[in-house]
Amino acid sequence: MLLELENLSAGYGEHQVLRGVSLGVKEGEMVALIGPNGAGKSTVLKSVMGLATRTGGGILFRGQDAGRLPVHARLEEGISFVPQGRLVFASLTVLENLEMGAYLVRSRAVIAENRERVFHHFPVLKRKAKHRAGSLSGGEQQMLAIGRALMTSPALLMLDEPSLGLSPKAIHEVFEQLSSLRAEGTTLLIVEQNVRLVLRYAERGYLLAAGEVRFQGTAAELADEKRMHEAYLL
Amino acid sequence: MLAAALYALIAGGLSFLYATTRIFHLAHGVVVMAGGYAFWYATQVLHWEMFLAGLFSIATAAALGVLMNELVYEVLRRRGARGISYLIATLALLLFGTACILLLFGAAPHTFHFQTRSLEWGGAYVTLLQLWMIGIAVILLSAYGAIVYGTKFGKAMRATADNEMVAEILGIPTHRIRIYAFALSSVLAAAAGVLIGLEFNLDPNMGIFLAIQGFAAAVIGGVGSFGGALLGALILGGIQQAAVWYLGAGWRHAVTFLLLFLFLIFVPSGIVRRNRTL
Repeated sequence: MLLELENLSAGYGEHQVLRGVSLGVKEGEMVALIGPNGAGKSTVLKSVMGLATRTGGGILFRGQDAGRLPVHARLEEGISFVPQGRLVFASLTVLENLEMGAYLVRSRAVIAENRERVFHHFPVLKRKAKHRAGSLSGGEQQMLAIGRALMTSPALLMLDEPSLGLSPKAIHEVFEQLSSLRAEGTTLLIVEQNVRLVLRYAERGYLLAAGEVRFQGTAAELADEKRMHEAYLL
Repeated sequence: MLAAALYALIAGGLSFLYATTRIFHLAHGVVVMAGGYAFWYATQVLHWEMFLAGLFSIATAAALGVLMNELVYEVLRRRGARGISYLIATLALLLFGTACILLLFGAAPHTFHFQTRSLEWGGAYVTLLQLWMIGIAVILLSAYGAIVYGTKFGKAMRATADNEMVAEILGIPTHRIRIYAFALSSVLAAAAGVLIGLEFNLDPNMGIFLAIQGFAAAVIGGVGSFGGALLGALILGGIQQAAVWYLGAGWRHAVTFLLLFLFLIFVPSGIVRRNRTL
């Protein structure tokens, strides 16, 4: 297992969101995290990154306890997070955004290599390298946010609602590249409201509701309409 | 020209802080005065060398700037405050700081006793000191522009200002970055304070006046841009001189505000628009 959550309880300050979530992500997998609004999907990702308050349970990364590490140490361990809402640094150029993604990377060679990898997956970023990120389209901004998260050469890439607010064409492009990243060995954990979409790409998933895992299974099992209805209505 | 150099240093500091922290730090005016008074104290009371006194002035201003951030802005930030709270806080700091200087040094203006040579240049007299001031202002502002737009550290500052949460996710030490930003802007403030002391006199109430002039110059030039700060300061200084010359000394401040209003209404982003291209 690359990532394991054992009975994780977490939230923000006094407010508890997750009530004993257990899940696992194997190396090279693409795992979907689905469920209704307020189920705690984002909080799972934030807890893994160290952005939420853990109140109980454990977070294991490569079998090591990562629950107490500060954010930058988790980055260095190989965890990357693309938050919801295409949050690029609007006043910085595309190139500067990528450079910031590599803030903790010291080796220039590694930075250059990762930048080329990002450009390979998202050629539009290379064409617009000198443009301000704020001037990019929604799809391009999402690609930049993903590219920026790739600059630390992560083993695990977590994405929060990557399709949110994008055009169908941009969504397709983003997911095709995510799938290609996975083929190159990057493990992906994706929170997505667009269930049909994510289950076309992921092989496995977890259904979260009210801060608990309600169901886990293959994409086909999760796509089962009846089961989905039950979970969303519960 | 001289006033312009001064305004440029202050507007540059304000622009720098805005570009790196998104705070419009009007209390910067007090930091300027603290730098000036520290320099006065070191040279006139302790009889230190100019260079040493300059360092003392920089250290005092930097400590004050960082302290203001830690004790006020960071507390507001942790509580999730909005823009208006920062504005009220910075105004309070400006008035509070001015009152503290008044308590420490009294209301009487403080003067320096220095001799400097004058040069005649096309019928105008320029002192060597004035040339120094202008040179230092230009060099400092260029250096700061290079830091903010050319170095990884400067980019991290702008990234932090753009989106603190994302900056943290990427491992950028945002709090430390803000501390450096305040320290660095306070160096500009100290330089401005020393220049004021050497050329004019130190008066506690000047801090408020300088904050307004710096604000006006920054708005005219385009907030967040160093070239803009320099340009805005030149325009403001030039127009003030012209107003004093043709209309009388009383018009100096009236002209500042008139210009400020006109720009806020018609060209709110200033002459140099940083957010268009790089």
